[in-house]
Amino acid sequence: MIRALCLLLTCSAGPAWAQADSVAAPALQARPAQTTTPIIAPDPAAYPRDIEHGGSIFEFSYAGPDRRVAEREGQSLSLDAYELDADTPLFCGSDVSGDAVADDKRNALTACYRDADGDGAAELRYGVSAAAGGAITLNAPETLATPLAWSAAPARPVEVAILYGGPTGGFVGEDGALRDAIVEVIIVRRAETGEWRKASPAERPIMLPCFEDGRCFPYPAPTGYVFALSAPTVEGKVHVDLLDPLRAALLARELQPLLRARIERETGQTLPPPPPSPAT
Amino acid sequence: MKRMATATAFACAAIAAPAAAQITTSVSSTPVIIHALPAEAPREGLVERRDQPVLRQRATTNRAVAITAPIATPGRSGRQHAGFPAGERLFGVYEGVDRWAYCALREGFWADRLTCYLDTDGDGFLDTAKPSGTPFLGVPFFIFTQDERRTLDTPVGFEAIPYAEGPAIDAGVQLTLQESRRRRGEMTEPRASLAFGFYVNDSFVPVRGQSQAVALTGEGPWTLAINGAEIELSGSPTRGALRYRVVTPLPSQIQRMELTRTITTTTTYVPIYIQR
Repeated sequence: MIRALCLLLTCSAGPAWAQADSVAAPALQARPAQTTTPIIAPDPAAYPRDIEHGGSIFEFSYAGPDRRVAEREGQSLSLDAYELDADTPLFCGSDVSGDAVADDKRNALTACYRDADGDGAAELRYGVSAAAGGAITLNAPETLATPLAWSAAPARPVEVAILYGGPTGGFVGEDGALRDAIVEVIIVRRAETGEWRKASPAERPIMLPCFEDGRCFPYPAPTGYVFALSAPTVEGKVHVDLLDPLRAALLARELQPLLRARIERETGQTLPPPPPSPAT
Repeated sequence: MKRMATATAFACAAIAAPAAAQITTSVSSTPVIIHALPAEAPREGLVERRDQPVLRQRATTNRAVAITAPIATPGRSGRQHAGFPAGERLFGVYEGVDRWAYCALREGFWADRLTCYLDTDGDGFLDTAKPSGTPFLGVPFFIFTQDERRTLDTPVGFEAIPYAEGPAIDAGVQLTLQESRRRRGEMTEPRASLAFGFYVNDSFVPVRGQSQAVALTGEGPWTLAINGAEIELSGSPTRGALRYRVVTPLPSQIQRMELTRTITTTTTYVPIYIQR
């Protein structure tokens, strides 16, 4: 529980324990190729509302990155653009199939391919060893015995959702309401099967602290809005509202002292005083 | 016998380890609810052994159902021919990011095994079985989901019941005493530690990182607290007359725990020896 609280007060890189599972130091790190297509915003009129575990807090979609399609061992591959570095475009996707493959692997990234000489066929395959926070870690490349011929395909819309992952910790009141809780939100993508899937089994949820009165710390969503959860229950219900940036900032300012007090209570340490507010 | 088989398996894994690669997998457990201690439960006693359970409280997951018809065994496996009778209560666990599976423990010859059931099409009937192996560390709510799925010959209806009435295990806290001993020529102070965990067949399975210790120096009393529970110790640890008192039992709470499993893989053939 303390970990989640501290995450909100530490630098963006995060401490070592917040990183992915016990994976060796990453040799090659790739990121999704940047897309500049405007995000399609959700309807603010759909808020506030009550949802349950697995319910959608916020959904949006955008045009995905460049894509390649190919055939490999009788299987159709759809590969999205990634960047290993500025000069090394990769195309990554799932290249496993068959009934024996675990559900959570079938739609996860398993490999990246690279056409190093630009002849329209990939000669190198990189296995994906880990994924966290959108970045993927690649194994050393292997040279394909037969280059993978591919062709460009239209970018697909990427559907993304922030789902409510339910409570992680907290005390349960007689009415089932949680106090001093930690709740989870999960960022997922729509799989080809229509289901929401984590980008990788290693993808970690985002933890949000909720306080004595049931209000949870706000979390920024795309499009300039911020969502605020409140009144989480032990059985997995929660109230979700969408706030504009000003209301969100006011809520965060109001909750900040509660967050500090809770960290100090749970760690037994005194945090340094906050920086002075700008002159008003 | 089950414990012996498990120990043998661990021993074999240890023997194979030097030539092996290790894969570490972490998952979060489904939420576990620790329920309040009944008013009539004993709240004080004498510390009579090195590891003494001092709190034992009911624990469930946060969703439960009862099946409205019997579940026959998928595939008519000889090992699991019994199925489950109508009315059997199943505990809910998270399945993927937005669904639930409902699980029960089957008693087996060597080890108890979990089977989970899914309503894959959301029609109110469980239609798929998912054998999920033995519980992690023996705690039935700790499941590393397996990938095998079998379609039930006959889908089975189910109805929600209050989560508190679902299958339950025991959680609690255990007090461990460490006597004074000689270390680098000096006597150390006697210590007491309190750990949170689960009881499996009367064995205590501590949850890593959830413990607190105190040196038993001075006159006492000494207080230990973990997860909202508070235990007071008094008396003389050197004369074997230490008493404990539950000042505050574990408040009703919810917890997801991080489960880390290391699998050892090897290409070397390792014979499995079963002790008889």
